[in-house]
Amino acid sequence: MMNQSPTAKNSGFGRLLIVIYWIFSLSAGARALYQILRKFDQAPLSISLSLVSAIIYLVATIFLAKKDAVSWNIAVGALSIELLGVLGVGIFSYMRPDLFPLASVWSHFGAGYGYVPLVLPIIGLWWLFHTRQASTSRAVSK
Amino acid sequence: MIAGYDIWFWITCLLGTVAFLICLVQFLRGKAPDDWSQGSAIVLQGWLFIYFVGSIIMQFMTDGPSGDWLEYYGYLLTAMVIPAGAFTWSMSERTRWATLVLAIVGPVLIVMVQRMNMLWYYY
Repeated sequence: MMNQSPTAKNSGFGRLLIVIYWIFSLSAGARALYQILRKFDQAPLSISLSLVSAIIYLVATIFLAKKDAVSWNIAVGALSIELLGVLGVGIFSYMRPDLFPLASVWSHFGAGYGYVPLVLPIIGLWWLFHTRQASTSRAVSK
Repeated sequence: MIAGYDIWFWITCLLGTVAFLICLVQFLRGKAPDDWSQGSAIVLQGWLFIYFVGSIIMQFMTDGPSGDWLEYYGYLLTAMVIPAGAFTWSMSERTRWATLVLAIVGPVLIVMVQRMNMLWYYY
């Protein structure tokens, strides 16, 4: 998988990453939508955060998949915000559990999703920097 | 009900596992999406359609889900997007990686149907 030839961020292992992000934006989005419709007043903070995380997953999915150099920058930005978000919300949900009566995707470092939300941006950022050269040069080899 | 789950769950478990194994083998052999891997996604999609119709029938024959019906059908409709999306990808992307994408569909559906069983019977 990790051969020496330059790989763009949206090929090889990157495809798996895109699909995982896509599934996360889908499931986090559906869940946030449901919670907004049904129980927003029970936990406005965690539900708003779920919506924010769903949007960030969607942005990450799109710009991981696109080929141009600017997309690489946007993807790095989205994944950085995602990492800060999961760390920040994770810490905050342990300090002030009273503000999180319902779990959001990122509360307790994504424990409800098998800690995938914590691991995903780390692997994603590693992949982005691993493929930086091929992803940001004009001539992207397929 | 076997071990707290109904026949819908166990059939999904069986189909999802078989689909996963077929696609994994095809991926390891370096195969682009073919009749086997794409077929497994079509079978799963078809199964979810049956599950959807079955759920509506069960909705009227019984008291419906003990949890929130909106959450239950939210899961079901989201699940139905997943094989369709993976299949669409596999049409446009003719490499082994699209086969790996098809492989993920089965396990994801098993997790979602497990949640749906919980919503239907337990809360």
